[in-house]
Amino acid sequence: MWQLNMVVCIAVGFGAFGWALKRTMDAEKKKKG
Amino acid sequence: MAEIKQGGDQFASRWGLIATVLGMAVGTGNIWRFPREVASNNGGAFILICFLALFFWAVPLICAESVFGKKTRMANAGAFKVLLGEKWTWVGAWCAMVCVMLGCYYVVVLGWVMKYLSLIFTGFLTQVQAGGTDLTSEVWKNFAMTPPAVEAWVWFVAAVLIAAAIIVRGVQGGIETANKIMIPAVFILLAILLVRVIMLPGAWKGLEYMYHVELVDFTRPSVWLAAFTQAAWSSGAGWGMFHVYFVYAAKDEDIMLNAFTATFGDMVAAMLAGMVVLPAVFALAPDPMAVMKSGANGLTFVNLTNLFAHTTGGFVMAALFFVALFSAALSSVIAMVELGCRNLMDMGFSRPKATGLVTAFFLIVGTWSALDNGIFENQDMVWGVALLMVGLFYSIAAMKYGVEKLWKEDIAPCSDMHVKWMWTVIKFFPVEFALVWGWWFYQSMTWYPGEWFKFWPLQKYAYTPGSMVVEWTLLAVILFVLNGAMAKKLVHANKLD
Repeated sequence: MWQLNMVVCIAVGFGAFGWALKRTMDAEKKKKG
Repeated sequence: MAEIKQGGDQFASRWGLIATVLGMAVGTGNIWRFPREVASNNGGAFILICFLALFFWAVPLICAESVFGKKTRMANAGAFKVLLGEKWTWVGAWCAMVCVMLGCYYVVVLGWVMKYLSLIFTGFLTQVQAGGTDLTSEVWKNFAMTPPAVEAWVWFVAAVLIAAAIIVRGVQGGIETANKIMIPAVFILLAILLVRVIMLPGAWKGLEYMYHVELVDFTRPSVWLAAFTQAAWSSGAGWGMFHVYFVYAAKDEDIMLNAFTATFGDMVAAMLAGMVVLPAVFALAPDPMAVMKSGANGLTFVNLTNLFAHTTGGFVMAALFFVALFSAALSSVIAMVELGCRNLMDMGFSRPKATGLVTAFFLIVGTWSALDNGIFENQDMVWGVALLMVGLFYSIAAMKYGVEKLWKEDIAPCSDMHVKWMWTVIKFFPVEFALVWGWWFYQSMTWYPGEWFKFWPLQKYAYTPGSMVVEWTLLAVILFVLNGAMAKKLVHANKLD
C-alpha cells in the first residue's frame, strides 16, 4: 500500500511540476519565435 | 488621487521569474518543517491532503497576489490603494509589514545555517564523532539558546548584509541572477542527497513511514488543518511576496501557469526533503520518532548534525544538506527584503535608499530575535499566524474588486491554463481561513490555561493569543494613523507597458 502511495505522490508531484515547466518552456520558445 | 508616475525594472526572462518565485516559495518550510509535519501527522494521508491544499489554498491566493502586482505595478500598499481606494492603503501596508516583521526573525535562521556551514567546513563533525548529541546539544545551546546570543547576532548581521548586497543590485542583476543559481542548486543537492540516503541500510523504513496511509487519518481534523497550514506556510501563498515579484513581470506573463508551477515546485522540494530527512533518521537514529519530534532546531542543528557525523560520507552529506538549506533560506530572505524595498520605492525612494532603510529596519528589529530565542519564538508565532490573515485580506480584496472581473481582464487573456475553478475557489477562502486560523488561535489558548490573554514578558507568553492580538493591533494602529501620509506618497508605479 505505501509503495503505491509513494508512486502516486511522486507521479502527481513531479509530473505536475514537470508538465508546468514544459508548458513554460514551450511558451518561451513560441515567444522567441 | 495623485498621478501615478512611471519607470522601472523587469525580469529578463520567464525563467528568471519562475526561479525567483520558486526561490521565494522554497525555504525552511520545505526542508525542516515538512519532514517533521509528515512524522507528526502519521505519514501518507497528510501528504495527500497537502496536494488538495495546493488547489484550495495556495493556487488561488498566488493568483490573487500576482494579479494585484501585475495589474497595478505597485507593491502591497500601493496596489490596495489603487484597486480598492485610499482608505485601504493601511491594510496593504499591514500585509507588507507582517511579511517584513517575519523577515526580521527569519533571517536569524539564515545566520544559524551559515554558522553551521562554517562549523562543518572546519572539522566540527570529527569532534562530534567523539562527543555525540551531548556535544551538538551543548554547542547549539551556547551558540543560539543562551541570551544574549552574541555570536548568533554576528551571523545574523552577516546574513542581512548578504541579502542587502543582492537586493541593491536590482531585479535582473541581483534577485534574478541569485535565484537562477540557488534554486536549481537546491533541487540538485536534495536529489544527490536522496540517492545517497536511500542506499543506507534501513532507509526504506523512513520511506515506508512517510508514505504509509491509514484511512482513519482522513477523518482526523488535526491532519487536515496541519496540511492546510503546511501549504500556507511552505508555499508562501498569501504572504504578499508573489505580489511584489509580479510587479516586475512581463505584460503577457501567465499568472495561472506560474501559480501552478510555484506550488507544485514547492511540493516537490518538500517531498525531496522528506525523502532525505526521514530515511536518514530512520536508518541512523536509535529512536527515530524522538528525533523527528525534537523541533526544527533540535532536528537540524543537534540530531541531523550528529547523525551525519556518524555516517560514511557524512561530511559530504552534511555539506550538501546545509548548502541546500542556506540556498533555500537566502532565496526566501531576498523576497522579504525586496518586499520592503518595493513598498518604499513606490513612495519615491531610490533602490539604494530603500535597501538601506529596509536593511537598517531588519538589523534593529531582528537583533532582539537573534540575541534572545524567547523573542524569536514569540515573533515566529505572532507573525506566522498573522500571515494567514494577510491571505484573508487578499481574498477579500479580490472579491471586493471582482473575482469574475479579474479572471476576464487579467488572468484568462494571458493564460495557457484555462482552469477557472482553480481561481474562483478563492471565494471560499474565508471559510478555510476561519477553520485554520481559528484552530491555531484556539490551540494557543489551551497552551496557557487562565493566562491566554497575557503578553508580557514576551518570552514567558511567547505563544499567547494576548501577545498576538497586542502586536497585530499595535502595527495596525500605527499604519492606520499613517494612512493619509502613505497614500499621498504612493505614486511611483513600476510601469513597463
